[in-house]
Amino acid sequence: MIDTIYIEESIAGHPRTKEILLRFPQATPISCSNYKEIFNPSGQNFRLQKKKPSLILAEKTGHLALPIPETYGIGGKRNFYFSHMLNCLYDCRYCFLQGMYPSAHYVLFVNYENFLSDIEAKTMEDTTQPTWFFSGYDCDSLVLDGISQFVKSFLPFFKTNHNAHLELRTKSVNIKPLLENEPLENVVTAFSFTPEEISSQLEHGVPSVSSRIQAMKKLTDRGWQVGLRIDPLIDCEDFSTRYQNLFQDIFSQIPREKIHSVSLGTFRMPTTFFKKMEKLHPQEKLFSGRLENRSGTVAYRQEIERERKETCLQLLQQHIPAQKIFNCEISSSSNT
Amino acid sequence: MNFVCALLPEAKALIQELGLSKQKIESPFALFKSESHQLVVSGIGKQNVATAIGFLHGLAPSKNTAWLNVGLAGHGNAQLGTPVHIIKSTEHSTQKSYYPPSIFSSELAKSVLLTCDQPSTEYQPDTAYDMEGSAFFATASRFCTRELVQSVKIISDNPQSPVSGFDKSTVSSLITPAIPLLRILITEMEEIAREISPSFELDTTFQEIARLHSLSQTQEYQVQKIIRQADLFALAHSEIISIFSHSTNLKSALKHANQVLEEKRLFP
Repeated sequence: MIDTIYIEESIAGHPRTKEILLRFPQATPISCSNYKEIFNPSGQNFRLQKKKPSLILAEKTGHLALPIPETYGIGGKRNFYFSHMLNCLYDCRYCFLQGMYPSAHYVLFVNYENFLSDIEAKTMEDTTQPTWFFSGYDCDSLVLDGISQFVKSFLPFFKTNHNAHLELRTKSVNIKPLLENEPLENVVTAFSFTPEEISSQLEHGVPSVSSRIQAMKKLTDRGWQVGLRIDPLIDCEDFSTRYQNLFQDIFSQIPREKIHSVSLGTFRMPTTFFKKMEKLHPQEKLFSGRLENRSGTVAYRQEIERERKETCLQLLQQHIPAQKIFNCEISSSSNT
Repeated sequence: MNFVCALLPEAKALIQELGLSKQKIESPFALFKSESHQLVVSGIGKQNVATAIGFLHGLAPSKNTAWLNVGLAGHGNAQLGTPVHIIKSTEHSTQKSYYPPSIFSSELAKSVLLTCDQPSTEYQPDTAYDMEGSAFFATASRFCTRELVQSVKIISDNPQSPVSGFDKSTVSSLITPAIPLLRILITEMEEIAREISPSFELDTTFQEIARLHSLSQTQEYQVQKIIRQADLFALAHSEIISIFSHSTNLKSALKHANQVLEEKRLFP
C-alpha cells in the first residue's frame, strides 16, 4: 500500500519512526529536513496523489491542541482539536481536506508525547469542568490505526485523566484497538453517516452504512459510548425518506442511552476550498447542486439549508432527546 | 508527452522506440517528434536543460503535457545499466531538494539524485549523480502538475567503473534494455495526463459561444461552468449553444441557461 516513506531528519531516530519503518520493509525511505518541503509546494494535484499517497513521518511543533470553532462542540465548554495525522485513506468528494491541502500524502506526526503533554496542560488549566479533545478533524481517527497505533498510545492518558474527554471521529470499522480495552466513560467514538444512496456515490472507499452500524453496535455492546455525526447533510432526491431510513437503521440497532451525542451540519465549504475541489473533480454533481456563495462560504441556499436541517431534526427527535442533538453551523451556534 | 535528454546517444533508443523523426527547424536544439510525442536534446548542464524545456514548451504550450527526463547517471552502489526512478532531487550547490510525487505503479528501482556542476567522482551509497536533474524538475514543474514531471536515470558509472573510464560507445547498450520499463511508465503518465485534460467537446462548445458573445474573464468562467454542468446533466451541447445564439445579450443567455439547469441540480 505505502511504497515511499519520507522521514524528517529530526525524528529519524524516534522509536515510533523505527517501529513504522519495520512495518513497511518494502517501502523506500527518503529523508527530508521538513515535511513541508514535500507537502506544501504548490503545483501538486490532490486527486492524482490520491491514487497512491506516500507516508510522511514528521514532528509536530508549535501549538498542538487548538480551540475548535465555537459552534462545533457537543456539550462541553472547553473544546480543543489536535491532529496527529493529516489526510485520510478514504476519498469523500465533499471532504474539505482536498480543498485545504496541496498534497494527498499522509502526514503522521510521531511525537505523540508532545501531543499528550499539551493535552495534559490544557486539561489542567481548568479542573472544574471537562475539557474535550477532538481527534478526527484533519484525518480519520481509526482507519490508519494499524500504522499509527494512535488508540493504543492515547487511551492510557484518558484512562487516568477523567476530566479529559476524547472524541474519536471516524467512518472506519477498525474498532479492534478499542475493543482490546475496557470502555472509558470519557471517550466517545463518533461515526459519520450519510444515507447509503449518497455514501455509495460520494464516500469512495468508505465501509457500507450497515457495516458501520455493526461496528457501532459492537462497541456499545461492550459498553463504549458512541456519537453520530450527520455532517455534511446532502441535499438530494428523496431526502426525507433516505434520512428517515438511515436513522431508523441506526436507532433500531444502537441503544439510545449509549449514544452520547448527535451533531448535524449541512454541506458548507470555504469558497477557496470549494473552487479547488470543483477544479479537481469537474464531473462531480455535488458541486453543481443548489448552492450559493455566502460571505466566503459555499453552502446550500438558505431556505434549502433551513428546510433540510429542520427535517432531519424532526426525524432525529423521534429517536433521541433534543438535548443530545447539536447543531454545527457556519456562524452563530445553537444547541438544538 | 515531452521528453528531455542531455545527449543524442541517450535519446536514440527512445527515438527509435517512439518512432520519432527529426524536425528540420531553425533551433538551437535537436528536436524529434511524432504525433503525440516530442523529444528535445538539450546538451549537458542545468542551463541547457532549462532553456531546452522552455523551447519545447513554447512549441505547443499545454498545462497537461507530461515531462520525462531520461539520461545516464553515476551511482554509489547500483549496477551499470540499472534504470532508477528519481524520487528526490537535490541541487549540490544549494542543497535545495525537489520531491517528484511517486504515484506510479512502475517497477523501477527508486533513487535520490544529486545534481552537480561537474561530473562527480565521488560516489555516496544510494545516490545517483547527474548534471541536469535539479534544473529539469525546477523548470518543467512550472509548466505542468508535479505528478507529471518525472525522471529516470540509467546507471552508467559507479565506484567499480568510475566515470573517468566511461566508454561512450556503450550508451545504447545501457539504455536499450531499460526501454520496456520506461514504456510502462510512459503509458501510465500519458493515461494520467489524459485524465486531467479538459474535454475537447466542452472546449469546442465554449469556442462556439465565445464567437457569439464577447466575454470578460468572469463571464468566461460562468459560460465554462454552464457548459460543464450541462454536460454533467446530460443536456445536449446543441441546446446550450442554441440558448446563447438565440438570446439578445449574454446576461439573458446566462440567466436562461441557469434556469434550464436548475431543474437538474438536485443530487441524485
